[in-house]
Amino acid sequence: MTETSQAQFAEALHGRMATYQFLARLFRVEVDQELYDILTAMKFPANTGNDLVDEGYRLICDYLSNAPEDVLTQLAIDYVRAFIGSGNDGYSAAYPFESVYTSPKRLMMQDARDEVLVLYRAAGLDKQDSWKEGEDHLALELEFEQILGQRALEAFQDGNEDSCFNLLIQQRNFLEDHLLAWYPMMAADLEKFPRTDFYRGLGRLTLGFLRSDLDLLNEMLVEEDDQTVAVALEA
Amino acid sequence: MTEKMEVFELDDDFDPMADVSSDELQDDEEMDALSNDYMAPIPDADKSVIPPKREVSAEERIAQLIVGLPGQKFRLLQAIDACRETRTLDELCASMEAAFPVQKTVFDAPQIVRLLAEAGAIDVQEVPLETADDQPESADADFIQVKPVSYNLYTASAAGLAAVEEGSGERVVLDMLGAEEDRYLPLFKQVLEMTAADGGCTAKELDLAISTNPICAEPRRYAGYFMNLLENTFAIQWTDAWSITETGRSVLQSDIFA
Repeated sequence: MTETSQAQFAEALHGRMATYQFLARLFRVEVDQELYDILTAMKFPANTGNDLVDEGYRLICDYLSNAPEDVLTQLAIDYVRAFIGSGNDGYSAAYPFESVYTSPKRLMMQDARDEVLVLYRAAGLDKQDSWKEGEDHLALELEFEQILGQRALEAFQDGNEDSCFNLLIQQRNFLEDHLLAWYPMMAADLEKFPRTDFYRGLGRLTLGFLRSDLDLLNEMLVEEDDQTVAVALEA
Repeated sequence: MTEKMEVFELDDDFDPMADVSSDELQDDEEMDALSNDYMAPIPDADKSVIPPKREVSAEERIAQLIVGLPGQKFRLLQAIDACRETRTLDELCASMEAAFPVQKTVFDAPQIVRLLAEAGAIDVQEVPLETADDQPESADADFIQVKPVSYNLYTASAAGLAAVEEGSGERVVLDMLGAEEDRYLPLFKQVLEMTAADGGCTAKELDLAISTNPICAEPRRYAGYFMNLLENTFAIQWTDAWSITETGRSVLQSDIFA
């Protein structure tokens, strides 16, 4: 791997890690003043080559450009409308839990939660006491990808390529087995329940990013002779 | 030792479905429904229809808003009154905070403004922002950024001003006092005078002064009775102590207590 391609590889790892962190934050709790200030100051990519990502960023940016004066209150209301809802039939919101979308009766704390909990613990992670929701919450699954991405980046920078690529394989498996196995269904619900383009945009952005990240991971990991080896990103 | 008595015996042959005759279970489908997990039926599901949207006039919406937020009534009316001249949100919020500096409420000024705008008490005019560096973005720009495209100007609507006229001002207090028995007027005056002192006065001071007055003996009245009536007409307000408002001052100087 040349120095240029190494830098590009590290940059790609850093970029996807940052995006997972960004998305996890948006799904975890409502937008607060600190995050709002960041959102209004940041530059959103406009031509990523992924229509869903571009559309998602554009919707978020347009909403914030035309935001009402009490934007934080409106976003907080829409957060509840989008992710919590007011009904108890399991079809009143885009519930951000894998169990809801993978259990027959749309219940929380089902097998999917147990599965991801095992994976978190295998990675030496446990939820903080302050987190009162299930471990299969979308924000936690995205944060798990972020942490694995951060570890992969650190391993790559330390010259430990084997460890880096093992971590990338873990991320791809988690993406295929969990996030992409259920999030598309939630993304469909996120088209229906929010009233602001902010959360509609977030739904599309996340779906587009997860799909493009799988493509990126597949590109990074090429199977040759039964061994997973890395190829540098083409310039 | 007492003799052991057999009172109960286990009925191994008990059949919970025995009382349900086979005629009542008409087909397999019904049997399946009984054996499957219980799903609560939605009663009268066919009647569960969303009623058509009802158009409500601005007057009615403003009245509902005021009734729905009794603790914010005079803040709502003050905000409308402040919009007699067109204002930006910052100007309006500053005016509201100057009029009601002590606010222990979850309704901040921008929320009050939004509620009033939704009720039709104030009209909103959207003004596009025109800045010198406002260049149109090319379609193939690599990045986009949040750029506020407009700001709002607020002006009181006719319905809003009518609500102000009806719900606040010296006349409302005078009407209230006029509806009360004349013998209570000195007590109302005393409350207004005590709350007009620098820094206002406490509820305890008012209670000691008013509740012990012989006029309050029959029927038994307490200071809270007079304070409530004056507060509900915005002659006095609580700002860490009970204090008189401008409306209350003008009532105090009026002829009604002469």
